This record gives sequence, structure tokens and C-alpha cells, in this order.
Amino acid sequence: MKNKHFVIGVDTGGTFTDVVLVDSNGESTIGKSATTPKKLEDGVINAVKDACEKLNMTLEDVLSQTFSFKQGTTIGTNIMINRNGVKTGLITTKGFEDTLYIQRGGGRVAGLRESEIRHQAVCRKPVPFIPKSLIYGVSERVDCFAKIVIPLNEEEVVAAVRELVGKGVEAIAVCLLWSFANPAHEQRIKQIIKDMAPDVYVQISSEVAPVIKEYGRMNTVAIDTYVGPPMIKWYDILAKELKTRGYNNELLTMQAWGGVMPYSEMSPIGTINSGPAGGVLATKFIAENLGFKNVVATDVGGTSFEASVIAEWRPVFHHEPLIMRYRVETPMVEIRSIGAGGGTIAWADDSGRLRVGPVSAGADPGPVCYQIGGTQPTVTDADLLLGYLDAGYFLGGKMKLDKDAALEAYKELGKKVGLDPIETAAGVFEIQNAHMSDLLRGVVTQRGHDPKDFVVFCFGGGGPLHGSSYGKELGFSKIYMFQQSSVFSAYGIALTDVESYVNYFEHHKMPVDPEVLSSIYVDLEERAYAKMEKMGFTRDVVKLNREIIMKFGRQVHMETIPVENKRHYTRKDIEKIINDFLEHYQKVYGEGAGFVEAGVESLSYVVRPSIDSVKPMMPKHALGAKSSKGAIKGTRQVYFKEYGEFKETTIYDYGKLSAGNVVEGAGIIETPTTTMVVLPDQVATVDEYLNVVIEG
Amino acid sequence: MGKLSPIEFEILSHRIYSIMNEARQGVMRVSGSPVVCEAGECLFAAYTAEGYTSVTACGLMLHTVGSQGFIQKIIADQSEHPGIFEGDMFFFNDPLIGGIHASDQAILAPLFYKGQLYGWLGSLTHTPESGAIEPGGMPPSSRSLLHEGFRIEGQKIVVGGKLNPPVVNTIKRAVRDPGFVMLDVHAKIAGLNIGKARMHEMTERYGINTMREVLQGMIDQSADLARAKLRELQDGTWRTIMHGDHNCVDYKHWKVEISLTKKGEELTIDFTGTSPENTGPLNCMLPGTTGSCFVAIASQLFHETMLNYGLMVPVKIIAPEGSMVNVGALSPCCMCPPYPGCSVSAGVTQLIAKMFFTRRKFHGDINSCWSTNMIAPFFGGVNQYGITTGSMFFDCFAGGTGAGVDRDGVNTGAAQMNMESNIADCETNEMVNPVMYLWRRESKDSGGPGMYRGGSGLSFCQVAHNTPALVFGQIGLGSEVSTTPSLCGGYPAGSVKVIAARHINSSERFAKGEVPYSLEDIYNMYSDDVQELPPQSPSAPHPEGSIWAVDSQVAGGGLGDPLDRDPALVKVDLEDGYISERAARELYCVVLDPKSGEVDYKATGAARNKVKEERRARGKVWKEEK
Repeated sequence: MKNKHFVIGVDTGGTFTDVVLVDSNGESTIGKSATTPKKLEDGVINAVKDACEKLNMTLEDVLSQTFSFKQGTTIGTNIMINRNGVKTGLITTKGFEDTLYIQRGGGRVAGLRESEIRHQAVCRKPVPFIPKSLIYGVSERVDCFAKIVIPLNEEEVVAAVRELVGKGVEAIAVCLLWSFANPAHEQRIKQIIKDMAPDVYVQISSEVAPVIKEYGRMNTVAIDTYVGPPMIKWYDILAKELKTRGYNNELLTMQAWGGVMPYSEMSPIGTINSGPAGGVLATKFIAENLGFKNVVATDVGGTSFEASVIAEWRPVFHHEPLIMRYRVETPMVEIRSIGAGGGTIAWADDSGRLRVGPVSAGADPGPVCYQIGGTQPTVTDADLLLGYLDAGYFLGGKMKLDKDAALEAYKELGKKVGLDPIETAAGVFEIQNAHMSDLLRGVVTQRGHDPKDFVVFCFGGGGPLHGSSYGKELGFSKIYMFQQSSVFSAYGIALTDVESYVNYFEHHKMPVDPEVLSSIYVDLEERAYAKMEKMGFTRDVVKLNREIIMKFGRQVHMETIPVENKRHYTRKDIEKIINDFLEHYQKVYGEGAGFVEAGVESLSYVVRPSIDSVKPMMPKHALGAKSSKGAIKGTRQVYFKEYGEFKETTIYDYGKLSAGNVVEGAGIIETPTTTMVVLPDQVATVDEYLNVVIEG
Repeated sequence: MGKLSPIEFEILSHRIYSIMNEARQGVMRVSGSPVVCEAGECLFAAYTAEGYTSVTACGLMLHTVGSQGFIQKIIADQSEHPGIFEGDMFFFNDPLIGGIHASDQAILAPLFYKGQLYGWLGSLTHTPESGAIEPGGMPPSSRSLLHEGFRIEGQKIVVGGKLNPPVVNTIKRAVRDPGFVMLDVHAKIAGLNIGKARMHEMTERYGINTMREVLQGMIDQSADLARAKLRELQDGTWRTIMHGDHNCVDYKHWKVEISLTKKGEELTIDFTGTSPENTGPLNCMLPGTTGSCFVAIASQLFHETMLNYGLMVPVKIIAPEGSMVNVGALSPCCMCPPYPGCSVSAGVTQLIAKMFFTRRKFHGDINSCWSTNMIAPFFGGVNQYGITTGSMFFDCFAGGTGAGVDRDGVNTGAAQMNMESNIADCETNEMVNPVMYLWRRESKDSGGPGMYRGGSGLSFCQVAHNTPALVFGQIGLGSEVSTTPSLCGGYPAGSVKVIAARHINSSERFAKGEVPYSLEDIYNMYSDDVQELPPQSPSAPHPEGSIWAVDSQVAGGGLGDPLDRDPALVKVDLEDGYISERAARELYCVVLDPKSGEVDYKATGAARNKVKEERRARGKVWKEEK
């Protein structure tokens, strides 16, 4: 095939490397291969080859016609988990050398579940990646008005660099207090390092994360520097591999804020958690195609239940992001999770009450019914006993489940809580759904939204099984159930736009002089354009979005508000910005929450440049007859809370359903990788994209 | 349990708990106070219709049971007249009734459904400005409750859903910085509105009787679990004495004597023997003492349950009237958290640890005492934006935890009263306050030495910056006597050092690069101007450029004999700056090879044996002493 242009999205996961190849007509082809941990690039090439073979094309043919190759990776996460980044030093303001260790105190509980936080005696801090022996303070100081109060002592900088290089560091991170407001000292230190040790990799916080709050900023630049060199090295290897095989454009990398960047311009820390960000972008794309501006995406896996929100067409970002347990200041698409997955363990507390989670049996030792070592009853065991799962059809029949073993486990648990095993299993199912509902309620309402204005998407092995319940509980307008896509993140990466951001800090009381604001954004946009032009894009294809970060006077907490793009703002525009902030505040925190008398202030200004990417097509099917009889594969006894007992329930084969078919509840729709439950008072329809939809 | 099934109870109780957490987050985001939104000093809770705490959001534990006193008083005094109605919200901050001191400002909202009261919600913030005789809300110069700022006794700050102007104006006219205080009022109201809306949705769906049953059921569940755990532990009585060195007037030794008796399913905490009331505000009224006991009980003993009144059901507290843990109605008590509040929490923690020794199953939960040597500076004056204001700094919330039987304490990680204690970034504090930090670091030799070392504490230094007028003081304890003891032969946490240098030309010297980076530097550079301050120091003029610094505060107690500490760990501590060479040599008796820097195990063994011989020589046999 000639004259076709491809966009390729790749997600290198822990077990598999997934590829989605999209041609210029929007048709997509999937490739998959085992991840090759020792030489990750081999797994990538193998997976792309797998996709090429399905098109009857060679790898070289495809790559020579590929417009963008977008790579998501877990390298950064793996480096952090295995602690095998480069030997990194840190230069900071003298007196603040312990910032990464103090962790604002709260590092002791950051990222822990509530049950873990309650167990105060054993909470520990995560260990920073830079040992104290490699942290040096230099005499300098900038204050809150960006004024230099203590000049930079360059002799101390030279001595620190000399000692760090003598200790064998390969990289140096620099983070000085208030550098985001006045980067002069950081820039000077960077120059000194480059002059003294040109081979040492340097990152400064005023470039990596120019935002207030020194602990998060210091962590960000420290991690960015620590994972940077091995990550760049690997991307260099992959770029070379691709080039020898015919790919002649920039290799792009997925970033956690939901955009891709040429890897030469990437923020290494931005690649961490980029896989899940790909999943959120895929959700956003599907939502756009279906015409929904407000979506909650849910994923039920073996260990956890995850939720992310698309509101007004845009993903919601973390308020105070963590990477693993480390506070950072990198913009990250928000994904909230709780320990509520298929492997979540059901147990009885000391007072004889039934509890579910948060501990999980995971995939090993797994649910009891897997018979691979698990002895404690799990949610999957409950699903099996209640009839939602078919013991003979799990994973399309590849794995047989032991129902008797699950029953025994629930008998034991039932004795402790005074219920029979089925009552216990039904209780576990209900409690699990309630926990999921509670998370979703918080995720949606904390931003001032109403679930009724949202549609819920149910992904993952367990999403469609529980989704009809938690979707109903919260009153979402529609519940969408998707066949498990094993390449969801890669799909999202393939369609992700090139997107970056530039920001600037300057503290103003509102109303600010319109000319001041205009000038700030003009400068920011020039910086944004320059960044994109450096990547080879021309201005005419660059889209720009503006944001402003504001707070009430006397407050610490900040909110981000979108701002209209304008060359010159007027007083009226400034008033509108203030009103937008007040309205947003009232929406999220309720009437009277804002104390207008304290005044409104602006602190930071953001521009997000982006380039639209070719998007895949979602294959459409003509709507046919409503009757789904042709997809019936049998019946079995299934327990529904609505009946309070088992009922003979129709089982459908998803593969035999067609667009337009209707499945009246109660019913079960089975796919090899997931089970969709339609509750007794629900009606499911197969839409033109072969999604299963339950109307609210 | 009534008609609710266990499954329904589990689902609904979890939902209410989620609502509390959501509402608390709302409060923290709206508040203007770094101590609330960064350090998390914010309580949000649901209560039964009778005013007993059903569940508290994860976070601040101190006022879980203290806050119920407010509601019970409102019910007692106002049910008949003027009445309690839907849309009301009550403001309360009297330490005799609840909370701990006037800075703990609560707003309580009744929950009605179709005219029937079925519960309450409460939100409490520590707002560091109460119109006291010094700024910051905790004046060391207080000699009476009347010096500690305004107290509102359950007046309606919201009536029919709208702010009640006379109460709002009373607050605004009573404080130095009405904007700051009112932002916290708005924050609490915002959280309560969120909570009320969610609870209303639940009640619409499940009915008022179910809601009442769940609110009470959560208390009963916690009480059941607490009793079940007590049954597992051995009966006995354990004792400790917590010491203090200052009473806000002068150096004065005081003690809090605590005994913990466990018999069957009941626990008694007895403060008999505690020193009498202090002249200065280093006292606790009974709600504060109860809350401080709760902190230890909830965090150390009953960590498996929801935070509510149920944990206190099996607990009896004996606090003699007139002692510093149960002072009179007008006694000064603004200092109660931390003193004697933290001493109470730490002491009960130590006794729980001793009780845990009776069962191997609980050894992993043994903690030596957590940080109590807190030093918190406060200020009042004009900030860098020209606003008259006052506040406190709670960097002391990054304290060291106590050592365990198999681990060191966590360095700079906690304030025991708040599970999620954080401290503000220096930049955040500098953005809103007229100070600039010269350093903030982990403090050498602060963690109590032991086989396992207590977590290291914090040292920091601030300069008055960009202010035309400022006064500065601090509250605290532990400069002569460490208030954070140890376990099993470990050492207590280090005692604190506080100094100031005022009326100096620091900015000129800074511009030349002459900057102090330690207490020693301050002494050397400003020898004529250095003042050594007691741990409690009333506000004093602190003009632009004045320096204030503290060292060795808020560390944790050690556990076990330092001579039993693995010498390799001592070497690491020395390299990482947690201990000095002197401590390594004299306390831990570790000898390092001068050439390689590695541990000389033979010499270390010899040094340690020598000290043990000296101990044996000093020791007396008990019957000989008798």
C-alpha cells in the first residue's frame, strides 16, 4: 500500500507492548508483543511488526510512510521502582538541603490508603532518590517579590560542582527558592555546570516546573534529572532503530498531561504515568465521537478501581499530583483509585461485621476460584457464586474457575458474619459497588459537577460487571460498557495531540492592568510558538489555549480558570476573568464560600500550545433489528439484589450481537475478556459502534 | 443494631465517611490559613442528634470528642429557646465546653429532614487569630482565659441559611485581621453546605430512621471493636510521669502524672499526682485533656476503627479538679495544645506501648513518644502587602516520631494530633507572611538516642522581611527538660534552643553575602544582639531584619540502649547529619577507623564494654538502697 500515512501509538507495559497503527483514513490496526525488559526496543519493533503483518506490509514500508511515531513507556516508573537512575546530585539554596527529606512532614502518609494512614505507628516516608551526601547548598536568596536578597556565591557553586563531579555524579538537578519568579541564579548555576562539566546532565527547576512550592518543585526536578539520562538514552536507541528501518520524522513521547512531545524536548518526568494518561485521552476521544462533553471513565482491574473525569471536553487534572508517593508539580491527568478490584478480599472484622478491601489477592495468589494459591474469598469469587461469571467461560474458556472452592471460602466467611455463603457473597458484591460509587461521587461532585450531567464509561475486566450497579446508583445519564480493549492506552497515545505548556509567575491583585495581562500572554505565546517551531511546526498549525491561576487574597489554595485568547485585554475582560473565577468557586465550593472582601489575586499564567493529530476512525455499523435472540447462548441462575434470589437469566454472546440489538434486563452479555451485567430494571442497547449502552 | 442489615450498615457508614472527607477537603481549600489548608488542622465530623461524634474525616483527631461538647451544650441551652432550626449554624469556641482553646473555632450545623432533627455536622479549624492580648491566638502572656480572645458561646452565625450580621460583626470587631478570620468562617460554612447537601440526598433516599441508626451504629461498632481489642491485652497498671520546664511566666518544673489501668474491657486513665494549675496558660480544661487522650488512643491503640466517640466508651478519665489537666472556668489555657496536651498524648502513647509489650502480636505497634518539644513562633504587624495581620507558624508539625522495637522513628514526619500533618512550604509561608527563611533542616542530635533512634526534629530560622512593623514571640516547651521521653533505656528527645537577634542590619550584611546558617553563626555574627529566649516568650518588637531561630525541637524519643545500636546505623546517621561526632563517640560509643572511616568493630566493642562496666560500678542493688 503506498500513499498512505500512518500514525503509530505504542505503549510499553510491564508484560506486553501494545501498538495501534492508524492510517490516513482513520482505520486502525492492533499489534501486540511481549515486552522485552532487557531491550525494550525489541518489544516495540516486534509489536509494530505484528501490526504490519496484519496489513500485509513490511515494517520498513510502514515506517517510511509513518507521519508520527508516539511512544509511551514505563521506563521512568521502572527506574523509580528499581532505583536505578543515574547518580544525581542536587544544588539548592543553602539552608534547604533537607527539603527532599523533610517532605513537608506529610510525605510520611502521602499516597497511602486511609486504612494505612490510620495505622500511624508504621507509616514511613518514601526514600528520596538523591542521598544527602550528594546535596549541596549554595549561598543565595530570592524573595517573594523576585528580588535578589542574597547574591549568588559562585565560588560555592564551583566548589559544589567540583565535589559532585568528584563523587561521580552523572547528573545535577538545581532548585533554588523562588527561582520560578526569578530564574537568574539557577540559570547561572546551569551555565557554570555546563562550563565545568559539559557531559553532566543538568536540569533546573525554573525550566522543569516553574511553579511555587519548593518541595514539589524540588522533587520534580530531582526525579526528572534522575530518570532523564537513561530515558533519553533509550529513546536515542529507539529513534536509531526506527530510523534504520525507515522512520524519518521526530520520535514523539507521551506525557502525563495528555500530550505528546518530541523526545528531544520532553520532560522525562512527564513520561511517568503517561500510559494511564493515554487511556484518559482515549476516553476523551470516544466521548467526543459520541458527543459527550462530560464523562466519568471507570476501570475495574484485579486490584483497584480507577476513575478519571472529562469535564467540558477536557480531562481534569490532579490538584496535588503524586508520582508513587512523591509530591510533584508536573501537570498530570487525574486518575483516582481505591482498592476495589476483582481480587479484593472480603473479611470479617473483630466485631463480626463484613468488610471488603482494601487489601487484594491480586493475580497471585489470586481469588480462591483461580486455584493458584489464594485462600481468602474475593470479589471475583462472589461474582462466580452469584452467577455473574461462568466457571467454564472465564477468559473465553482459557481458564476454568473452581466454584466449589469459592463456595467453601464463602461458607467460612459467612460463619464469621452470621450469613449463609450466598448472602455473604451478595453482601460483598453490594459493598464493593457502594465503595466504587462513593469514590465516583467524590470525584464528580468535588469539582462542583452533578453525576446526572455525566455519562459513565465502564472499562476493564470488571467495569461492565459492576458498572450497571454503580452507574445506576449515581444516576448517570447513560452507562456505556465496552468490550475489554487490551490496547486502550496505545490507542489513546496514537490519537494524542502534540501538546506542551509554558507558564510564568507574577503575583497581582485583581483587577490587574489589562495591558500588563496582555503583555504577559503575548510573551508567553511567543515562548510557546518558539517551543513548537523548534520542533519543526509552523505557527499556522499551532493552537493556543490560555489559563490563569488565581486565588482569594489571604488564601493559599489556587484554582485554574480558562482565559479567552486576545491580543489586547480590556477592563471588561479583566472583570469577566474575575467573575469566571468567582462563579467557578461558587460552583465547586458552594454559595458564600468565597470571601470577596479578601480580594482576588492572580499568580500564574499558562499557555498550552498544541498541534492536532490525525485521529482514528471509530468504525460505525448500520443499526439493525432490535431482536437479540440470535446472540443468546443459554441461560443460568444469577442472583440479583432486586429479586433477592436467583433467577434463570438469559446469557448473550457479545460477538453475535449487532448494532441496534436490545437486551432487556436481567441479562448477562459475555465477551472473552469481560462480562456485562444488565440489571432487572435496565434495558441495554447495542449502538452503532457496538458499545453496549444502558440509558439512565 | 435495629432494622439495618450489616451490609446496609457497611455501605451507608462508608458513604457518610466519604462525605466527611469530601467536606473536609472543601474546608481546607477555601481556608486562608496555611495551618488549615497545608497543615490540615481542620476537623469535619458527623454527630448523632444527641451530639455524640459518629465519624470524623481522616485527619485531625484532637477534637473528635472535644467538639461534641459544643453540640451537647447547644442542645441543652437552646432547644427550648431560641430553638434549633433548619438553616441554623452555631459558632462555638469556648475551651470549657469543647475544642482546646479559643483558636479552635467550630461551626455546628443541625441536620433536619422534614422538620425532624436527626444529626449534626461540625467543622472546626485552628484559626491563629482570636483577638487575644497578643497576636497569633496563643499568647504566652495570658494569665486568664479573659486574655485569650473572643469566645462565642454557641451563637447562630447562620440563620435560615444566611450569615447573621451581629455575630459576624462581633467576630470581625474582636480580631486584628477580620479578613483572615472570616475566610476560615467561610471555609467552614462551605464545607458544612457540602456535607448538608450530601446528607440530605442520603436521607431522602434511605429515610430518617435509617440515618439515625447508622450514625449511632458507627459509634457502637467502634466501641465493640475497641472492647474486642482490650480483651486481647493483659490486665495491668502502667505509669509514667511527663515533665515540663516552663509555665509561661518562668522556668518551673511541672509534671503530668499518668497511670493507665486495663481491666477486662475497660481502660482508666488517671492523672492523679499531676501538678496544680499553672499561672501561665500552660493548662488544659477537661475537653482538651480528653481530646489529647483520644489522640493517643485513636492513633496508637484503636487504629482499626472509625474515629468517633465509640473509642472512648470503654475509657474512663480521672482528672483531678484544679490540676493542670482540669483547670477552672476562667483559667488560662491557650497553650493547651501543645502543653500539657501533647504531653498527655505522648504519655498515654508511652503507656499504651508498655501495655503492648504484654502481647507479642502488638509489638510491631510499639512507639516511643512522639515529638512534644514544640516551638511555634507567632507574629503580629503589617505584612508585605500593607495589611495588618497576625498568625502563627506550625513548622513544628514536622516532628519526629518515636522509635519502635525494630525501627527508628520517622524523621520530621508528624504531629501526633493530626494523622496527615503537613507543614507549609517555606515559599507558601513567605507568600502570605512578612518573613523569609534562612534555613529549615532536620536537626542534628535531636532524635532520642537508643538502640533505635527517635525521629529527628526540625531546626529553622526566619528573618522579619518586607514589614514596616512587626512583633514576634513564640510558644513552646522543653529547653531545660526534654518533654519527650523514651522507652526501654533509650534517651529522650533533645531539648530545644531558641534565640533571637533584633535591631540588626541583617539585610545589608545579606547583600554582602554575610549570612548566618546556624545558631552558632548567629552568635558569631550578632554576638552583641543575641538573646537566648525561654521556650515561651511573649511578643516583642521585631523590626525588619530581625532574626529568630530554633534548633532541636520536636524530635521523637528513643527506644533501647544506645550501646546496642548497630554501629553501621550509627555511621550512617553520622554521615547523614542526624548525629554529631560527639554523640557517635560518647552516646553510642562507636569508633570509626580514622583512615578508612569504617566502623572499627573491635574498638567499638571495647568502648561499649567499658561504659557498661562504669554503669555497673555506679549501680546500686535495690535492697541495698532500701
